[in-house]
Formats: sequence, structure tokens, C-alpha cells
Amino acid sequence: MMRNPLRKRYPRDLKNNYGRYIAVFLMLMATIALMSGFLSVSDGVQEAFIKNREDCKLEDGLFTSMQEIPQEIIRKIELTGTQVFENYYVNETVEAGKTLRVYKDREHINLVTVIEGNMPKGNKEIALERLFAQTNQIAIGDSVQISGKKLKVSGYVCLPDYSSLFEKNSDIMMDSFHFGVGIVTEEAFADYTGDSIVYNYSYRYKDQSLSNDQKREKSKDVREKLVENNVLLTNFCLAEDNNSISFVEDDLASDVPLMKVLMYMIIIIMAFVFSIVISSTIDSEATSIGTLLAFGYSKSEIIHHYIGLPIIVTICSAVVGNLLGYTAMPNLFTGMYYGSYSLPPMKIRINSEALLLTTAVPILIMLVINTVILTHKLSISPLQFLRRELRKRTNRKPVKLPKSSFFSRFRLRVIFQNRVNYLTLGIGIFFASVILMFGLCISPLIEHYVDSIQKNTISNYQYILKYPVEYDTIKTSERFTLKSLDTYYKPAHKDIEVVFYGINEKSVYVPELELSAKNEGVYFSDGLAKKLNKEVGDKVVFQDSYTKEKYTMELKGIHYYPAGLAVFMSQKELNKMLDYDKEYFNGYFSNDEIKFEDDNALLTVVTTKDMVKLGDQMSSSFSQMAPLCLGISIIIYLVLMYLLTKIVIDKNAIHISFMKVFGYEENEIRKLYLTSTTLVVITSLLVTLPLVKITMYKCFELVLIKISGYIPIYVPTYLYLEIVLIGLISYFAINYLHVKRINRIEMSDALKNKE
Amino acid sequence: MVKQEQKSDSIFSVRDVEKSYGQGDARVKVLNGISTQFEAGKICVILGPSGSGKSTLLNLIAGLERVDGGRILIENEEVSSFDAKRLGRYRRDKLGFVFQFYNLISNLTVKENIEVCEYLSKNPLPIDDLLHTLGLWDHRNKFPNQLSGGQQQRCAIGRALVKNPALLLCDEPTGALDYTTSKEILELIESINQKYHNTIIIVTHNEAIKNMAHKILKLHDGRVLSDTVNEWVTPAKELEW
Repeated sequence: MMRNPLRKRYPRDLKNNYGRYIAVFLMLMATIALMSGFLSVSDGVQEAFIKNREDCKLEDGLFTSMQEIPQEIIRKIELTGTQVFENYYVNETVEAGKTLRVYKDREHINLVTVIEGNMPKGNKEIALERLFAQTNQIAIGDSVQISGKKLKVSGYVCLPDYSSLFEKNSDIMMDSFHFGVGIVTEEAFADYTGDSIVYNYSYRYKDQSLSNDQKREKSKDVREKLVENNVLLTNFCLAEDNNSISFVEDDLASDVPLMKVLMYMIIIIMAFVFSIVISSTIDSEATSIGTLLAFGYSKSEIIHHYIGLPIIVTICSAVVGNLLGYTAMPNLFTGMYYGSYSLPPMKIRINSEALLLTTAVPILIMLVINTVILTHKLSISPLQFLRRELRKRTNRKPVKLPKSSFFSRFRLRVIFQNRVNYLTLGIGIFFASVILMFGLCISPLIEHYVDSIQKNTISNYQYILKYPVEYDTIKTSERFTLKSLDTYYKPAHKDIEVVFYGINEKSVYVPELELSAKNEGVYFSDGLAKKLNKEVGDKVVFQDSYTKEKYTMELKGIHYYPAGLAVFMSQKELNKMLDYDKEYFNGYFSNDEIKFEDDNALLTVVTTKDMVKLGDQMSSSFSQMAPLCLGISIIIYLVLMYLLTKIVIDKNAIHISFMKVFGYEENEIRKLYLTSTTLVVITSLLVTLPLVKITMYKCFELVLIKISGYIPIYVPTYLYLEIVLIGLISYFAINYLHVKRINRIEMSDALKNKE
Repeated sequence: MVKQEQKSDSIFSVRDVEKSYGQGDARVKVLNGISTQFEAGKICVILGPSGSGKSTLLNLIAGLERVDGGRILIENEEVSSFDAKRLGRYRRDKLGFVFQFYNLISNLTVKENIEVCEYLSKNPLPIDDLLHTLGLWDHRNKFPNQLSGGQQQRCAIGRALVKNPALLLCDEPTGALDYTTSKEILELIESINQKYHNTIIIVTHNEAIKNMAHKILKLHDGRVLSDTVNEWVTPAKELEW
């Protein structure tokens, strides 16, 4: 069977329109490479992560007690069908503001994986969790100073219970700058005694085949047993609720669909761009198509022919994209994952599902969209093609234009003539602008967040105590009661921790709140109100995670406190609600640093510097996002602007030639044909901005669901200007090519014997 | 002058064909009860001024348009009742077209343009022979824009002919050409008819061309003005206008 000779047009068409095909190829190839690279890494990470959890016997939950729990109580707890293991630790300061959580090597649960170097030996070595060590540039063989002791770093490790470095479960972000984990030998750990030790216990279900509901029930039994036996719990957390364990999984689970949506959106846009390019080619080759149809070529043969090149280009993009995806791209994404999380080593493997998603799906998208559009385009008769009657409705009246100069009316006609191109360009500009805004706003958003935390802090220092301790010498300080309660957060299907502040009715630190002992409702921090989507007058149920006692609170007002999810109420009322002593307190607000004589009573100190640390960590985590978003959006701008506006020139090439014959000068021709495109680009950049903002806010709301706190979305006004400027610079680069193109069109073209 | 032998086996018949365009008051009847028949292996020239309906009749025969009334029969099959798919098959198997403006594919060479239709045929003519017959052998690897108008039309004829169609439809084949080139093209059509015995219908408004035809159908205002057999066929090279 003879092969269709029309195929011979492909290499010539590729050669004649190489700019067009290279642009589409680059765009698709980059998209597929990114997606393939991302999927290969995320699959590899997921596989390694899950395997490591199993191999290293990850805990199913943990609890922390104020004191060591006697063995007979442990045995009682184990009767619930669990195995409980001591997993004590100490929090040590290694450098100013940096906490290292030191454990002894584990034997039965949360086993350590050595990534580089060795496990510690003797009492003068420590193995550091890799991410903390690398972030703080601590090399193997270096020494770290802990409690006056110099410990040599024997190696880098990762721990299944610290895949994300959250110091506290309520922290908004993991923080590898200021928080890390170290492993020492049992001998070295024996040096820590008394109050510095945190009595942490990890447990694992004996029957690992239990369903999630059964596991939850069992954990409930464990907690009840602990409460029954009067264990003073300071923490009780299931692995699935523990951010240090579950955050990576949640992040991976949401990153993959987000990336897929982003990539497929680009491929869909490119498929539409291709269909516009083909439609334009069909318009210019109408009589040839009419001839072919008249000779007996079927419409499907014509569609097959015109769809051939887009599919060839997509296949080439998929092949090269996947090659790059598996060779060059993994470095970028492993850098992103391993720079944020503490993960075991992984291997890049060719994943059949990922391969299908990055080859078959883009080809299918290209095929379906182009087939639908071309079928519609070719629905006219062969005779209409021969007569160049390319629209079904030929009696459409021209749009009546307002009275204005010839140039203005001409430009409007060009816009009407190319409305589909310009509409697609507008959609593409919108899409690229969303990505650009996302990339550009991360840094100012974090700065704004940190700044607003610093400006709206209650006091320079918040001292949290293990038990009430009187310090008479502190005159500027003010006592408060602090309690953490949980509330159900429906969008994330989990409980979130909310800090309750019981504040003095005549507080000098929070004077703006009208607090009274009468049960008149509570104030929510604005972040909490926004996160839970509550307004004044609404009621919210909170629960003590240990006792399971429930409290229903009415929202009386909103207090601007960006540092966290908090509820503010009268101290007396909170003490009464929690059945505490009337005068109970467990914290001090103070603007001056307090030197405590008895450090044992001090649980933690929260300073404004801690908030800045958070900003550093967030900036570091998202630092790779900004250039990536900037790169992607500029590529989209350039490619779409080039392809869609080039068609306008190509379509009007003969008319431009005529204009030259008539005596129009090149700058006048540019005003006629290019200014209309310039106007559309500027209008698209400006008009889509509000929509970009709305989309951006919606995207951010989705991101915020994942995190424990609330970060107010902030897009400074200058960013809008930056987006328009970047869009315009991209356009004028393309415009320059078009100017040259117009100048190249010769007068003789118009004089040639054409139909 | 050469007297041609007349054959009685008609391959086509057109019976009471009507065709109108437009709607309401703007409706114009372009063909009004046309009836005729075309004999196999003969050249027929359809003559008439602009708006007489000659191109419309050609399009109806080609199945590019549908009749409003009447029937078009080929080998006892009613073309006018064919669905779109069967019409496509009919055009593919039976017809060749030559247009006034060639309609060649610009980025295919002469030979490749002809191959486009060779592909459609189960029993195509040998392309190389055809290229020699067309006088395009030396130009076979050129693109259409490297050819003169006459050479492009030769290529278009070759493209139509390579399928060895039963019926070759030529719509103003010399309309875009000068006198000398037009005669060359007409001579080519004539030689093709003699060599391959295809039935050829030429639509033209050039009165002189009728002399090379075996049958002359004159249309005026959508009606048959005359339908005659040319007893004295003039060779194309002797045509004058």
C-alpha cells in the first residue's frame, strides 16, 4: 500500500515554519520534562519513604509525660495491644537560637538510617540528622558544642519520625535552620539526668494489619489507660497527626495533583494554540483542501494529515522531555525535596504510570482537541473550500465600528479578524500571570507575615511555665494562663491545635480586648477566624485532646494576632472553664528578658526572634519556587505571544504587501497590523489582573489548608506592575521579530499572479 | 477536420436537473430542468455566458453539490441519491478535476502533486509516462511556484489523470492562461482523450473550444439552449480565437 504522499509535506512544513514548531516543541518539551522529572522524583521519594517507614519500624503514636512512667503502667498500656518503648530526649542549644533534640540510638522503634558516615561510638560522638547538619553547614568530623561538651559528628542520619523537622506539632513550618535531631550512644545519653529529659514514649500496634479506624480506637484505649493511671501527659499524638511524620506524605499527595493540573493546563493551551495554527493553515490552503476533497480524499484523511505534525511534535517533545526528565530534571526536584525534608536515599526508576502520563496523555490531549476543532473546521463542503467560503454563515454582517480615524477602525478590523487568536492569547496571558504572581509574591508575603507578627506581638517575651511559679522581682511582667485545645478543621479533615490565652481583665499587654469573667464569649485571632471561616456570633467547639472534655465558645470579636491560631479570653473564665484554681497561671508576658532562678519550671520562651526564624525557614523552603515560576511564565508569555501574533502577520502578509504597493510606509503598516496586537496584549495583561488575583487567592487558600497555622495572603501593589512589565518586555521582544518580519515582506508578492 | 466515430454507450445522464441558490425573494434558479447525456470516451464542451449555470452543472455531476430536483445517473446509479460517504467514494474512484487556478499544493513538487492522486487510485497510470506525456519530466522535481502558469496547469491535469478516471471534469482549464499556453493545454487534453479514452467535460465560455468537442452543450439562464453532436471535430492545434 502506497504511503500518503501528503506526508512529504511534513519535513518541508517543519523547515518553512521552524520557528513555530521549535516554540511549541520547547514549550511542550519543557512542560513534559518538568512533569516527568517531578513524577520520577516524587515516586522515588514516596517509594523510599514508605519502605523506610516499614524497615525502620515507624511508631504509630507517641505520648509525653511530665515524669517517667512506671513499668507497671507501661505494661497495663501494652495490654491494649501495643508495644510501648522509651524514646526519651533532651532539647539542647547548639548555637544561639538553634535547638538540637538529642536521642539515644533506638533499637526497637523509629530506627535510624545512616546516610553518610557512621553511627556514634563512645560518649564523644553524635550523629546528626542530615538536613539540619547540611543547612547549618556542619560537616562529618566537625564538632558541635552541647551542654559544654564537644561532640564529634560521626555521620549523617535520617529518622522516620522526623522526616519533617517540626520542633512542635503546632509550628506553622518545619525549620531545619533552627531545629535538628541528633543521636548519641546510650552511654552518652546517660549523662543527661533529671529535668532536662523529656519523657517521651513511642508505641506501635502489635497487629500492623489493623484498619485506620481500629488503630484510632486502639490509640484511644492507650490514652484512656494513661489518663486512668494518672499519667500527667504533655503530649499525645498519633503518627498521622504528627507533622514531623505525616507532613511529607500530605505534601507529596497534594504536590502531585497540583503539578499535574499545572502541566496539563499548559498542554491544553498548547493544543489550542496548535489548532489555531492549523486552522490558519487550512484557511490559507483552502483551495488545495477543496481540490483534495473533490478528488475523493475523505475528511478524516485531511484531518489525519493536518494533525500529523502536532502529533509528531508532541511525540518528539514527549521523548526528549522524558529523557531530560529522567536525566537533568531529577537534580532540581531532589534538591527541592531533600532541601526541605529529611528523607532516606532514593533511586530514580522509570515508572510506567508516570511514563504514560507524560507521553500518552499529552498526545491524547493534542489528538482530541485538534480532532474536535478540525472536524468542526472541515465541516464545510469541498465546494466551499474551493470557493474559499470558509465560514458556515456567509451572510454575517460586518461589525459596525464607531466613528474614528481610519487607523483605529482598521486596527479594530484586525482584532475582529483574529479574535480567536487574541482570546487564546488572553487566556494564556492570564495563566502565565497566575504562575508569575505565585512566584513573585512568595517573598513579599513572607516578609509581610513576619513583619506583621513582629508588629503585633503581645510582648517581647512569652515565658511558658510547667507549673505556676511566683517571681516577685518582675514588675513589668503579667501572668496569663495558656492551654492548647483542639478543634475540628473540616477542609483538612483533621483536628488543629488552638492556643487559649487566659488574660488579666486589666491587661497592659492586650488592653484593646474587653475581657470579663462573665461568660460573654471569646476573641479569636483573625487567622483562626479566617481559617475556620467564622464570624462574630458563631459558636465553635473545642476539645481537650487528653481528657476529651468539650467546650463550646461563642465568637465575640476578632483580635489581630498573626503569630498563630489563638483564642483570647478572661484568665478567670479560662481557669474556671478548665477547673483550675482561680489564681492559676502558667505564663508571663514581659517586654524585658527574665532571668529565672529555677530553670526547671520554664517550659519554653517565645520571642519575636522566633518569628523571624520562621520567616528565614519559609524563605529558604520556597526559594526555588520563585525562579521556577518566573521561568515558566516567561516561556509561556514568549511562546504564546510569538505563535499567536505571528499568525496575524502571516494571514495578512499579502495585504501588507499590497499596502507597500499602495505607498504605505513601514511604520504605518506596523501601526495597522502590530499596534492592534500590542493593544490586545496590554489589555489582556491589565484586564486579567483582577482575575489573576482571585485565582491566586483561591490557590493560596488551598495551600493554607495543609499548614497548621494561618498566613494572611498579601500581594503588594508593585507586584501587579511587575507582572505587567514582565509581560510587556516579553511582548516587545516578540514584537521586534514581527517588525523584522513585516519589513521582509516584499511588494512583488502582491504583484505575483495569485488567485 | 477529423470526423469522429460516434459511440452510443452513454456513461452519464442528467435528467430534469434543477438547482437554486438563496432564500425567499433572493432565491435564484440557476438550473431549470437540464437534461442531457454524456458518452464514454468523448469530449463534451459546456458553453455559456457567466451565470448560465455551466459550473453549477459541473459541480452537480461531480457530486460537490446536491440537486434540488431531477436525477444524475452514472452507469445506472443515481449519484444524486448518494450519501456523503458514497459521494466521496464516487469522486475517488471515478472523477478527475482540472480547475482554472490549478490548486496545486505549494510545498509538494510536480511529481509529488501527481502522487497525491496516485495514492487514491487502485490502478493508477505510470507517473513517469504521464510526466513525459505532460512534458513535465524535466520539471518533475520543481515546486509549483517555480513553474509557468501553463506548466502548473499541466501538472494539475496530470494530477487529475493519474487516477485514470472515467470522467475528467475541467472547469475553465484555460481561463488563467494566455493564448499559446491555452492551446497547448487543449492539445494536451485532446491527446489524453485519445490515449486514455477518458470522458472529458470542459466548461468554458470560450466559443472556439467547442470545436474540439464531440458534444456541445450550450446553456443560457439555467436552461439548455442547444445540445448537439459535433460531426466535424477540429484538432485543438487548429483552434483559433
